[in-house]
Amino acid sequence: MDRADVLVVGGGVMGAAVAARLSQTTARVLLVEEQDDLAEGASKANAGIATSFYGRPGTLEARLIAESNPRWEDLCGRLDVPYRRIGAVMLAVGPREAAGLPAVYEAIVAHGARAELVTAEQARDLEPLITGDCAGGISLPDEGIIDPMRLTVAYAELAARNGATIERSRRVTGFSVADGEVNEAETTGGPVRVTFVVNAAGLFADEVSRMAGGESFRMWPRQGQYWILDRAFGSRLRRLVYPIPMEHTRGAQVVPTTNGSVLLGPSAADTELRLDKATDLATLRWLLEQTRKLVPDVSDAYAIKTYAGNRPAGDEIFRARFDHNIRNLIHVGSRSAGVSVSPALGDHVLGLLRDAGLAAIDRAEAGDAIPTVPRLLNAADPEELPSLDPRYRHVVCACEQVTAVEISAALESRVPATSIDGVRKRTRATGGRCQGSVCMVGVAFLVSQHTGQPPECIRHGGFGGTLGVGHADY
Amino acid sequence: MPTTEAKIAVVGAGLAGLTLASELAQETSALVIDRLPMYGGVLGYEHPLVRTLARRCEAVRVEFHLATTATRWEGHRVLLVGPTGIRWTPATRLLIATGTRPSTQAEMGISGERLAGVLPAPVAIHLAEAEVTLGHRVTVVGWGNWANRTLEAIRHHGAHTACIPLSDAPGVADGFDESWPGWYPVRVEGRSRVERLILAKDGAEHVIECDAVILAAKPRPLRNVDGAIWPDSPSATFIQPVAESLTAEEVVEAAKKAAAELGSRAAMGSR
Repeated sequence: MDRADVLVVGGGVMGAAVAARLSQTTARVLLVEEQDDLAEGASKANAGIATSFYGRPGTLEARLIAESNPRWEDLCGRLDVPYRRIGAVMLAVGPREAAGLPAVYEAIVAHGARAELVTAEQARDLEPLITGDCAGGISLPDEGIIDPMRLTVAYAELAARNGATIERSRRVTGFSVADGEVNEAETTGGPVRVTFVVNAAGLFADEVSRMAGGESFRMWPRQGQYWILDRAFGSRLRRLVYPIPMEHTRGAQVVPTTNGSVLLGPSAADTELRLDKATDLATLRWLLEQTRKLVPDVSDAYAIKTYAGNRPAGDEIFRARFDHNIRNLIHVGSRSAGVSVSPALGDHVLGLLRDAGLAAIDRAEAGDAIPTVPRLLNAADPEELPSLDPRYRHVVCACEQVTAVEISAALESRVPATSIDGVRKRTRATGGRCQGSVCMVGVAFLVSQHTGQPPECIRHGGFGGTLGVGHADY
Repeated sequence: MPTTEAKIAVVGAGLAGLTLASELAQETSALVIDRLPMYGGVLGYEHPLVRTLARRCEAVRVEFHLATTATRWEGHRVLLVGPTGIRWTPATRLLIATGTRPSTQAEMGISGERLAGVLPAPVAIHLAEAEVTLGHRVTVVGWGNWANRTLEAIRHHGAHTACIPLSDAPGVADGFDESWPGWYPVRVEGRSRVERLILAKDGAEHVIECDAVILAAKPRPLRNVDGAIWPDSPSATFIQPVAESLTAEEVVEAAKKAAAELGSRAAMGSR
């Protein structure tokens, strides 16, 4: 039977971050993810913002964000994750919003985050594309942008390199519980004897808790839709542009991404359908209207694609604590700030586990970095790349400038891509302007070569659908 | 490889690119870049028109960079990635002649998730030609060259085929088992792969049960050289005739016209 000192349930950014930190100790770590890849929930469908404040000041979530924020450059350097501290400008549009600015400012600085009230003119210096109706704003220099999928995969990769076991397509189906403790987890890959369980199941955390005899709580999807605009527009935008937040949402934002494109979103609609990630035209039009109020040049003429994701909303918007009933069950989950707390989350959970008696001693030989793969798209001196690896001369995805090197690295890592979407998550190939109409066959060929599967069996899209349904026997 | 003399770089060695290069290289030096290891683009290198144009290019010493991708344009130099290495290559003007691609799901305004089984036609055609069975019930959106080539490629796979031609011209969906002229697609639905395509017409909806949706409509210029995406890109010109269905002759004609305009502009500039 498999044994784990700590079983992490869920391969989103929070579960992967916890696994990465625990893997640096003597604890034996197993992470299971029911989908066929990591970052299949909110971790792939968010705006990619590493924020410097969120929620109410003084909460654990706010504290972990504050602890995480200064670490980004160092962490992302070690984990080969694109990150840039570009700063945000929050805009008051019209006199009424301007009158509310000081209160918003006070709420932000109460987090300890850096912020500065600015005039409309100063706001325009920060981001020249903002609306002429701007009546003042707040500069937020510690807001950053990050690739959340690369971050999740990198945490898992680090964990795997340190000896943790990362198993995808393995679902927890039940637990055996005695005397207020979980002893064993039943999974689709066989039972696991466990000392501690970390429930990082996102939108499905309530089901995991119920199966383990833990607290009863409810999770529901808060759907967010997004537009992605082309790099040709992104190259003109310098900073994140935020509206004045409302009580329960930060509103639709204009978000430069680490690959140069721009996101508009998210919308926020509480729904009941956990697997529904469909977009609708009315919401998408609304997003355009909202973001145009901030940056008038925003236009669907630049649109590459639209997508939707489900944030794991719950009656408690953030959890990183033990269950009230089951002594060895920890819940970690966040509606909106999973990425932003992740650098400090591992330390926090490790502290909880140690306090509860887990002998997890830091191993001096454990790694804190994964190998860097230079990328053609970001190369300042691209002419030098072939001397590192001749396969850089072979561009597979022209839109995103992804070569055979980046794709092979994704297919050969410890937690490798096994599908077209897996390659897209790790490299951006097929995710650009033409959405794979030129390169998807090439990517499928490389996946086929590495996995030994024929092209029709290669997975594409959500929930494991395949490229084809069979082979024509001729 | 790089030289400092004035040079026109043509991206795309299909009919348009070859025509442009063969015309312009009579006055100035020209290089042609193509992603594929052979010229000819979608027609292939054996097409008689392609062979004629290629011979003309050779006669006026057009420099070919095949199996090479142009990735970035900075107004005076283009980054070429190919078998001989990665090189910034100087050029006075970049001509984009990379043809078209079908509109994506988002560009078509088809809502719903990104589902398996929903494929751009060029991908579908490649896979079908490699004997991948795309689906048992295949719906093709569009009626032009891609739709016909998709139908041709899956003809012997035994699938039931439906066409959403987005046109009510007679005969556009000939060869398909069913056709829905006047209807347009609004949504895909399904769990692990596409199961339904929802059509709309005058406020009414119709559901087509299918396990593959091939996007073969509303051609857009295929552009993927950073710095040469929008019409106002410096020193870049786009020669990408766009229509649901184009003949080879129409493409050549459009390219000749563009070459003549560029030629006279260059002549005026040098005076």
